[in-house]
Amino acid sequence: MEKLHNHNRKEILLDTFRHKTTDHVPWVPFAGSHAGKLKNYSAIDIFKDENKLLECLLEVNKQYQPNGQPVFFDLQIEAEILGCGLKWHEKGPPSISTHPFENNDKIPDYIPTDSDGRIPFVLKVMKQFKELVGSSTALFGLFCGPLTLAAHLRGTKLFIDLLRNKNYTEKLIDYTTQVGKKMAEYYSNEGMDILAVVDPVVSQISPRVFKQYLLEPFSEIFKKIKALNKFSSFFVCGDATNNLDLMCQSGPDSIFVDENVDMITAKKILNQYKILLGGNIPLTTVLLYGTQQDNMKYIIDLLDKLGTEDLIIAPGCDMPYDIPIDNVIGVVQAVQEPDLVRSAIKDYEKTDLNIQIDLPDYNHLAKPLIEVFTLDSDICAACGYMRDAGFQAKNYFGDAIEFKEYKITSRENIARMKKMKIEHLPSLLINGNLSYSSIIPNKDELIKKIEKMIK
Amino acid sequence: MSIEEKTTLFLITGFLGSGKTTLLNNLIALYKDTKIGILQNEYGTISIDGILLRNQESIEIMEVNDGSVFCVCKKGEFIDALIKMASLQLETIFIEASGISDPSNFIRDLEFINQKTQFKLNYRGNICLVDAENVLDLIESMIVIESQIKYADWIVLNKIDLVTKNSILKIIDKIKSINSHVDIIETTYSKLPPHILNKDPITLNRPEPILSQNTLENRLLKITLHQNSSMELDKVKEFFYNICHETIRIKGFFYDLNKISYYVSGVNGNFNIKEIKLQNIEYKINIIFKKEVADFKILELLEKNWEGLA
Repeated sequence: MEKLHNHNRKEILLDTFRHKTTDHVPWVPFAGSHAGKLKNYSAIDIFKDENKLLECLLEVNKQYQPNGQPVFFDLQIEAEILGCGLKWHEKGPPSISTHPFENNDKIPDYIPTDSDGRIPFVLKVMKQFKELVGSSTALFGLFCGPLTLAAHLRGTKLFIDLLRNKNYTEKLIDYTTQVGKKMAEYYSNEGMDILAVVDPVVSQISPRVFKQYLLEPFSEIFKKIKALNKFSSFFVCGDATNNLDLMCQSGPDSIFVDENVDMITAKKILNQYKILLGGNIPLTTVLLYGTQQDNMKYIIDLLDKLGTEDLIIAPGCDMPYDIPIDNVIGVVQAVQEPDLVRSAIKDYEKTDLNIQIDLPDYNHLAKPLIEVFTLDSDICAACGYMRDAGFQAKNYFGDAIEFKEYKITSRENIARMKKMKIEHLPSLLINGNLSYSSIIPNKDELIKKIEKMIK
Repeated sequence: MSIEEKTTLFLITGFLGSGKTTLLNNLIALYKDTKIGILQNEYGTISIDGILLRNQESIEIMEVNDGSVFCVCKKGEFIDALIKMASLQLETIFIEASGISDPSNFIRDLEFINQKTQFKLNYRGNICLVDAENVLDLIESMIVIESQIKYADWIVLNKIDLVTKNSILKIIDKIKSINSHVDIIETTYSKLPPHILNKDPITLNRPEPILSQNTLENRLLKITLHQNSSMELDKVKEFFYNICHETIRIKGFFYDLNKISYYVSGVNGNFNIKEIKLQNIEYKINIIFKKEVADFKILELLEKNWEGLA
């Protein structure tokens, strides 16, 4: 079986950063707190327990087959060390609850060390994860951008400062820039391949303000990352269209945007600077509430509109915890095999297939029947794993069970899938009952299930 | 379910410190005899205002903290909260968005929400607080303020006692350059005249929701009907009655045989027609059809019902 070779996944992303042509457009899931869902841990669990975090990161890596993967998506690490209060959430990263410089016009001067706060926790997980997947997956180290960190420290007064307190604002942002540069250094030392400055508040300010206060600081940050010999990313949330040109001028290797930014417009701007564009799968309407087919269609559309050069597919921002795993598997399949997925969706959507399919009499089977529905297990990695699970069970039980695979590359199999009301791929059914959908079954668990049926 | 039976929804926007929470308290007093709900959003802080508001009885309050409700990563929470609130079947819901909320996609989000719940929401409009003391400066720094004004149906120009008459005129000019027909209420302490919100706002320039190139909604079919000659009012009503069940959004203007102008608006299968007295109207009607309706079926529907209309 020709699966996507693991050692290519990382190189596909890094080659994209080098502006080389690759087998497919790379994809980077921003699975921060969402990683916990794959192992039924809360966000608090994984943001405080390194073993649980590592377990979840590995599961994300296995299920979602990323070309690149962030290790930690929490913009509050620096702020917490500098005196901000935190409020913890079961299904998301912590949020800032107090701002130490809200009523205090001093400029802080403490630069966090790699022993402060949760930095050691993060660095340890980075190191361990790098050892485990570093050869197959490019790793992202994310740190809080200068404007957002300034907002954490100063609270909403910052927006008045931008207007009325130029001197103070410049000094505060200079300070938060130095903090960011230091964090980049720590993450670079642990082997992160791409260093990403995440600054959501940037979308709120006008280009005039960006130029006045931020162009130089961001340029400084990206120069630092270059000096560390790493690739850089600039993440922003919200409609940052008006600031895109200036963001490009600050010199990142890539810019990631969310659904508020029109990708075609963004691509035109970024192409002028030869900067990669990342994004922008809508988190709510597509990933969270859409179907697996919706997600596949979205990716195909994006690729058809934007082409495959200098592009990275990613969610618009940190993925909500409750995103159905099936949906992300759909994204993976569409990214890795767009032609196949395009064709399968087209056939799936036809209402007039007119193909007669006879289903087995599931209530009177001579022996347990394992059926696996896949996109194409020779090409789609997740489908390959699901098929392998079925094969392993067949090898274990021999003639005591029957095993069949249906690839939806054939119209007959699509008709079967629709008749059986299978909605997600890959799926594994035992005696006509859906047992596993997208998630690869644990071998022992599957064997136990089948054993019960044989008894 | 008719529009009248749905929960009425107001969005309250405005930059930090413009007086949103004071407005909310004033509205709570105005609506004291009705069952209301408040969905409050704060950026980065514990909602002190939420604690104050809880002292009021018979008000349902929900909060979404840390991040604007229009931030993409918070949108799921916002949608869930609003769906939950819709199920309470209150008479009116006020959403107090955070000061740095960009409401440009709110109508699109609301259409999405109305598809997800059987308890429909009738969006009445966006009340935008503008701080007279700071707006002219802030608007140069913060992109979001222009967006808040652009998508407003009422502007509450607050703190007018702190600025000169000349400044007020400049501010009004600036607002009108962004949103030419919005109602502007000049006030202090966010006070509103009673019944001001009973009138349906007709904002000539209420911009269409931003349909980014990259969303599923972009696959919806949007048709624009341009009026070239007078139409009989009853026939227009019949036309919309026959097609509205396949539509998500209807909005526009037309005139009848007596040259009287009308505004038609509809959301999710309902519509409403009102006589209006406005100048410089562009007589056209935009209709967005549900995505599951095939193109050919839409054309069939239009052809069948358009006959004899114009």
